[in-house]
Amino acid sequence: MTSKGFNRLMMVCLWIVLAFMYIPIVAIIGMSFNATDYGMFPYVFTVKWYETLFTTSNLLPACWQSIKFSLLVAVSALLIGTMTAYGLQYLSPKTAEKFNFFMKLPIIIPWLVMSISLLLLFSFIGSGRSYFAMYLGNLIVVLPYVVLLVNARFLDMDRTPEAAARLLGASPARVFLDVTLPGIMPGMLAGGLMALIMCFNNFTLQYYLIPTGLKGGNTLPVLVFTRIKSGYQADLNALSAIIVLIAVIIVIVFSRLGFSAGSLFGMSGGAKKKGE
Amino acid sequence: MADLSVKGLKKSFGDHEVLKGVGFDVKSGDFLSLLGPSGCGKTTILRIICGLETADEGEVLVDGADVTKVRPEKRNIGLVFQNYALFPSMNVAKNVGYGLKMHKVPQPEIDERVNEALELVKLGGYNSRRVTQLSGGEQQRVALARALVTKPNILLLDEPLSALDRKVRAEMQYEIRNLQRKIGTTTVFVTHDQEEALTMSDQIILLHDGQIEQQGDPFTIYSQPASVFASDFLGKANLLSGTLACEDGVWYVCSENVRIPVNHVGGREGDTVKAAVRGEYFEFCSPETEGANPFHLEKKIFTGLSWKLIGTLGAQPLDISALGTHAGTLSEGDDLFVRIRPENVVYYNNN
Amino acid sequence: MKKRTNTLQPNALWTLPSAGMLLCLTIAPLVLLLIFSFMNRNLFAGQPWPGWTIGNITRIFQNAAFWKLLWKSLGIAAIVTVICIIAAYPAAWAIAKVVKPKNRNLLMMVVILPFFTSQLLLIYSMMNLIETGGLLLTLLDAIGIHNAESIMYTNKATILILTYEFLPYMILCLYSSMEGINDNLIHASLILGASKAKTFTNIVFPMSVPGLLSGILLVFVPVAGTFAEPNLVGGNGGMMVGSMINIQYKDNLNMGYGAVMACILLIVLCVIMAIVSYAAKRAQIHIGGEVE
Repeated sequence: MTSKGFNRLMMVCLWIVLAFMYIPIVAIIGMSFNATDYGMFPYVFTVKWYETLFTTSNLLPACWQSIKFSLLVAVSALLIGTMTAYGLQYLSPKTAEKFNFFMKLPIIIPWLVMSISLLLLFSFIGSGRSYFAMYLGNLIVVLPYVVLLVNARFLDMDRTPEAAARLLGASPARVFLDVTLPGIMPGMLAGGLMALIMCFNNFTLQYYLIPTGLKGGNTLPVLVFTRIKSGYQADLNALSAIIVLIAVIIVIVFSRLGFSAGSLFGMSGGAKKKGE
Repeated sequence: MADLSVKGLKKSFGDHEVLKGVGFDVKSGDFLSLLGPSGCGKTTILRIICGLETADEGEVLVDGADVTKVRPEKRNIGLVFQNYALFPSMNVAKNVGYGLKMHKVPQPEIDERVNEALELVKLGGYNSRRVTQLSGGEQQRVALARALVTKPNILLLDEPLSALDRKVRAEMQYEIRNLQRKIGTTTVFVTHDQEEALTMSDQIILLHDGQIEQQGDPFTIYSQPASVFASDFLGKANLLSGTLACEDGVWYVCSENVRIPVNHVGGREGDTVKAAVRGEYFEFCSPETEGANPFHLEKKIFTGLSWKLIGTLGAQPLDISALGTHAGTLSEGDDLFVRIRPENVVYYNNN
Repeated sequence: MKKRTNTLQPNALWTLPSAGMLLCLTIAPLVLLLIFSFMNRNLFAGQPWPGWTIGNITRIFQNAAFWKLLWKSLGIAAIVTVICIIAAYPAAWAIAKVVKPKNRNLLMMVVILPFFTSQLLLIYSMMNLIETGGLLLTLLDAIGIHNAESIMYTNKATILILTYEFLPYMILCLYSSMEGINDNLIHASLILGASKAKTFTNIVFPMSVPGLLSGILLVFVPVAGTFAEPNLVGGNGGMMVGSMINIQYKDNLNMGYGAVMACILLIVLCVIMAIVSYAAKRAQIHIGGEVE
């Protein structure tokens, strides 16, 4: 189990898995600089697909639409999620555990089921598909991440400075602004970022709840879905490369904030990090 | 500076009754220690005094005024926490000046008073340091300065020294006491360390299981423990069982081969009692001396200040601590004679 | 005890907004899903209230195609889950126990990074790799393997892409529970003379069961309910139960019928997850029972 040969075998498996995960991504990035339109060869270097992306491609407006929408959802989730995580600290541990279970439901239920249930709800109340319906639907599936990450910060954090501030004459609101908020900031940043990504990427909910003829066009996932049905998309390659770059930056930000990969999804390993 | 009076505090967490009716008074300018093992409710008392916790029953009076319903930020009571509770996002000066800022003191005055307070705790010039970079002792000084700078009516200290190492701790004990004398703030100090309580306090309240076990000045508490618990908790007295006997008007606690003279404070002949005797009150003597008892030395340990002599008095185990060179010449296995003065023995009826 | 303090702190009320949202946007829709199963027409804005029926239920039990697709979806989900476990176990072990501690977090971030690039981009990048005229076949052609057939538009493609998408989750879950295993425990077991296999079954496996369980939950459930992948790469015979539900809403506009299907899917998934977690706990006790 701890022998050299066994460990080497495990490492080989790891590299195979990583290769499996990254070859398609690296290939896309490579193709984004390839002038040959369909097919792979001959490989001729070009940046013309990036030019297309930023000029004539319909992907760019969809990107903006998605960015605006995701920001709106993420900011709302951050606000509500932080409130929730704060309130959670004042529930009894048992109640808090139950609450956390229900909080996770929207991410455990398959998105398809979630989407049609929400569509039924909005049809039921008479609004049907709308920007607002899409907003609420995405909000409920990203909210758990904010609650999870801010809650983790709360549990990790020393709460006595808040009591100290209170005794020094600060009102509860002042204490929150001066002491609590700086303490939970890393959790809020990570939670907000998670909400942003999860919303930006959520295809199923947007596919079901987006209204027809939305001003500003479809969101990116909905557009990409219809476009990749028809196969190779040179401008999409360029966009993919940019998105991979953004993902790298995001991952670096998470690490800098002190969050491990597991803690982002509510698994162990996040709380321990501080003690290392 | 203010009088503090606490009356009939009761508090339960769920089914656990933490305080079972605790009341005491502290005179203006006094230094009171709440001493007791962990879980005896001493920290809960502090939290009720400053308003972080509400009592189920009872009241807190500051200078005669009932503050039980006053919100913590309006009480003007300073608290120094065990883990310092400094604001990690602020530097030293911001930490210390926070209370003044909350009380809307103008900035130039804040700067001036922060500097004064930092001088007072010997951290002059530390203003712009980050609190996370300070040592434990330094952090504790900042916490102290922060609590004192607003000139609180009452200062509460919740085991402020327990996280510090031995040497820094002794220094801080001395400094806190000096500081308190200088500024004269009424102080309540919580600790589980009996030595700390004895060296620092004007008054000590010994708590046990949510109730007051004994109250008094350090010397009385140490030399006249009011119960078996008190004698055991303060300085680990030897407990010898025996029966009470009277001979020619002199009272003794007797057991097999042992007769210890005591001052009679109650009980009848034949009562079974426990006698608390401190190891350092024994002296060696010749067998003929009045009140001499046989002591068999089994083991001796040098502790630096004194020798710890472990053995048996009659049939019961006894630890004696002896100063001086004489103890060094004894060897393990020796049979000796020891005696103790009646005023140094306290006994408790077994029921 | 007559007095119980701290039962409700006013600050706990801050949880109310999201509790309300959960109620309105998760619980209520699920209840509606059940209610709609008993409706015989669509409900759209402005239309009159449709009547009640149990027609959807009787119809679904006569619909052999639905049950076939349901079984197929569960089968595909099981295959994907098993492949993920087989691939993720060694990888997670390597990161948790072989790699230097300071590199562990970095490697886990590398594992999770593709996930942040979105589901559709992952599908798209794998599609590009495997399609006819794609990089893989072109390369095979170049090294002399001609006429190799693309797996694009088959169930195999669906399985491959789903595995590709969900593997990071499984590694993450297994790693999280493995990093908690104390190395000394393993060394101690080996020193005390336990074989490597025994050490694995007695110590490593029982301790990784919680991670394995959450991994199965995070892979099996979404895979069983997916529709985008079969739609994009599964071809004509690639439908899964999700596709059929999707069709009821996107093409047939048959809300009640789709609701019944979704309800059945949800119930079946709940039952399966309950069985899996029960079995895993039993296995944990049974196999690991000799320790402590």
